[in-house]
Amino acid sequence: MINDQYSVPFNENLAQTKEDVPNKNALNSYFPLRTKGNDFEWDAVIGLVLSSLLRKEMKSKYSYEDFNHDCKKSLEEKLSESEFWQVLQQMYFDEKDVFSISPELLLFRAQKNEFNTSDQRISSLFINLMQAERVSQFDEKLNFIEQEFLCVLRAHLKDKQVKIKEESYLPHLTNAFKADLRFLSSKPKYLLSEFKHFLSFYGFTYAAQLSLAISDWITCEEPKSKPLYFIMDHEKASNERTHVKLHGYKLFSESSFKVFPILTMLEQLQKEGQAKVPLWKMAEKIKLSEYDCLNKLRNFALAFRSQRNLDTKLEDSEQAIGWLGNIVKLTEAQFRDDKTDRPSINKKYVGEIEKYLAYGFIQSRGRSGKVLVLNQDYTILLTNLVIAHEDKLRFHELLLGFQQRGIFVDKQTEQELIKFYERIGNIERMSDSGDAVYVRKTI
Amino acid sequence: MNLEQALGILSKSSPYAVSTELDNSQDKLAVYKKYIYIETEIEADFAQSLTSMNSGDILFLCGSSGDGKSEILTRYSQQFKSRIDFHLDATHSFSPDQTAIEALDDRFLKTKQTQRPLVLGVNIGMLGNYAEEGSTSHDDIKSSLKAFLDSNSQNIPENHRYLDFEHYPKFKLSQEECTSEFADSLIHKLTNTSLENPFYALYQNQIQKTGHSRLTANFGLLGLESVRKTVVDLLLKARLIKDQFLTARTLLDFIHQIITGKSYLFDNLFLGGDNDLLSHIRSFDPSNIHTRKVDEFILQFSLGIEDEEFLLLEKQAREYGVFEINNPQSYLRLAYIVKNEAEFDNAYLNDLRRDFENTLVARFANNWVLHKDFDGSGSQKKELNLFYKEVLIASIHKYCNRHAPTLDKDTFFVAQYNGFKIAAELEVKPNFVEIAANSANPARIGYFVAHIQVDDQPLIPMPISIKLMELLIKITQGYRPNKHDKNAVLLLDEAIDQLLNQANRKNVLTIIKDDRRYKVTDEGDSYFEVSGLV
Repeated sequence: MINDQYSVPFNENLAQTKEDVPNKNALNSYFPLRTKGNDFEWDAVIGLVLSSLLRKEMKSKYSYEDFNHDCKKSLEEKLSESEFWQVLQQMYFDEKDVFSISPELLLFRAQKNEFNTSDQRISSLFINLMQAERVSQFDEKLNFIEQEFLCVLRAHLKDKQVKIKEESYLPHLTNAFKADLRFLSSKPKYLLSEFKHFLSFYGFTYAAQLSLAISDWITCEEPKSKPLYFIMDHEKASNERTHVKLHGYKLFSESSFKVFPILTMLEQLQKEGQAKVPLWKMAEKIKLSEYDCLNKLRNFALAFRSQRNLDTKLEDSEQAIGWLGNIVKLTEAQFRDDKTDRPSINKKYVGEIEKYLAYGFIQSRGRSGKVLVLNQDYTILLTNLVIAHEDKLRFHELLLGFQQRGIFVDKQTEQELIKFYERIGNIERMSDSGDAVYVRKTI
Repeated sequence: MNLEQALGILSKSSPYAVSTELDNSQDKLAVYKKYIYIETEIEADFAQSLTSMNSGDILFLCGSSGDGKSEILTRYSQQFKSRIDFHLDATHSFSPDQTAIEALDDRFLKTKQTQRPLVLGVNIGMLGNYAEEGSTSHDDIKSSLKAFLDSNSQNIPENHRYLDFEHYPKFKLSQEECTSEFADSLIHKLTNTSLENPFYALYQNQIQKTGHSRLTANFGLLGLESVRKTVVDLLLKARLIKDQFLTARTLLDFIHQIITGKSYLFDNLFLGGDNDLLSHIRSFDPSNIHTRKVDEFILQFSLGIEDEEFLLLEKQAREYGVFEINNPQSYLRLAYIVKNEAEFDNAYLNDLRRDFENTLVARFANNWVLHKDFDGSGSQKKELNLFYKEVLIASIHKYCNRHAPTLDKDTFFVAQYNGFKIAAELEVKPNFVEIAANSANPARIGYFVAHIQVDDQPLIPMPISIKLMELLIKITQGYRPNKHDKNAVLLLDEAIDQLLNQANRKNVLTIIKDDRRYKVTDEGDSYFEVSGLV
């Protein structure tokens, strides 16, 4: 839109004086965690994510007991012997086994009163990552009795509007996530058994890649996948493995300290009434804007520095983008100011990231310290996702698929991966050279 | 010049391992190399292709490292280079080498400019890499490569020809026996008792001068046709069971090591060594076989019991220069390699021979041949059906029903909810139409492709390797796969997933709990007939 370049590309009400600068660092976008109150239940998160994926929700409050009753009524009408319902009741409903026949059954947890605020925040990570991806329904192969149950459920569903509140911060990850969702949706049983692992992986890699990409805004371009090195959980983490040492856990941990400071600042810059944009896109808008951004940004920077009592030296720039840089510098500086409690708040925040999003991917290795690991289950899941609808993939292309999803490995782990695939039997060699290794998926 | 020096040309560390265009006519070892050269079928096809190449044609010679591509290219480039360009790409690594890809880009560009015929010797992995990473200005070539790699021959341009070492299998499987023309010819030529054989001349000369040594004993033993056969069988087992590629370089080095190693031939064969083939063959060491006869032999040997037949074996071995065997394992290995040799006929061997037989390889080879040569005849169907009914379908049924072992034949476990099992009756049988259609495809030695259908619905083809076949047989015998058998589990799970998708389409379900059994039938019109309630 041509008009866009003449309007202010950020918050029109951006504080311009010390008195107007908010005291508090609020965060309501791009990251699901807060400094506390982050406990969540995967069942609820999964229900909420599936609700958005299907664009479906319950028409009205619909308890499990109501569903059970409706199924009983429907089947009793059809069964030649009504007493047989008692068998079906025991089979499917007494222990809630009916939840394992289709992902749509997991929508029960997507109802009000069935989830809490933290569940909702975590699910919003995935809902924003999928950016309006939609699956109309799953193609389960159900027997004719189970199809009746699904019909009863579907009669109680209505369409749901899904509004995207944030433009994707990491488009390469959004693209991978969408592709993987489409693949999983074509295999409902696999989705049912692996969805928690799937979301757990993406929760982690989103956090990791965001922490690495968040400083890379000056280019005004979409971030690419950033190298972050993993080893398999049975490998040794020797000191000479440079990438593992420098670009593994250490890099992730250090980068995590930037997430909260920069995102709270970005929150203040967002325009109201619009989808929120990543910092790299905000920078692009500012750069291309015909509006006089410089004065507003400079006034805000000076006011912010004064309000936070910072003595950060600011670069005297003639360009708006330079003052955006000053603002980013200031927001990081406030969280290093030992005269306040902000450093400990940020440290606590980083701890919550590891505790809730990264726990499955970090291992302590004694003298080697902590390393990022891929266990066998995640390796198999990732392999299946990358290969997707192909029969098999060249090992090199498989590694590229891992990289798109934020997983990098060094040469030694490449060898371990091949040994792993050989052990589980899904390697096909077309010659005895390493470069003709093809990997099959396991489903 | 002695026998050991001459045999050195076979070693992988020898400068003769790969030909160069250096003039070596004056070299003393050249006569041995020239003698030992074996022309292969792929070389004959290659030579013929060269004579018929036209402007704009490209011939791809593809294989593994060590297959002998450079050997063939070197032999012919001198003769044809005036009108044909030759290019040998030596790259093999885990990641595409950008330099090698750019070199190929340049090569193809020149070829398009000059329109001279091109012969390209290339590792098959590099073909895959180039098909993905090559310049878009060569999309025509990239499409051709992809068509070749996908065995999609109708999409290969007429001016492109692919000679793939993998399609010239080094083993031939037939009903009677397994052979390897290449390995057999090579060993036979090396050890042939002919005046034209310069190696044999050295062998004779050494025996006359200094009597038998381990080297001459090994050379002589390897010259026996039956020993050659046993060695070829071991190579086939390494290929099938250990998936070890057999390349010319590896084979030459293997022969070098079993003859010149520090022990007798039979120990060199089974005690490993710095050669991929040997490191795999050691797991077939016959002294590790535990049968009553073998264990008895080891016990008797330790006790020093004299036996007339055993003494005869010792005497027979001495005639070939084998002295001083001082442990029972070595005797077992000797017995193994001469098990088919008439000159070693004695009661001891006859007893042990049966324990040395390997039925798994024979069974695999038989089914491999049946699938490759299937002609649709009733007698062949009958034979194939044995494998399908008794091994493949039986193991699928057994594995599928591992949680419900009392189910009938043709009844398959589908799911379990709160202790209630759902099962369905399915008709599973071989898909002879697909087997016949598939038999036209180039056969790879490492597996054959099985085709089954469920209620007339074809399942995805299932590659059956010898390892998988072994596991399928064990499953039918009651073995339960564990996490170390993932290969079988994955393929079985895939087949069973498709089978159960078919089961869920049935309009009849059986529900079982303890000793109660119900049948529910979807009669249509929202009516479900239930039987079995009491």
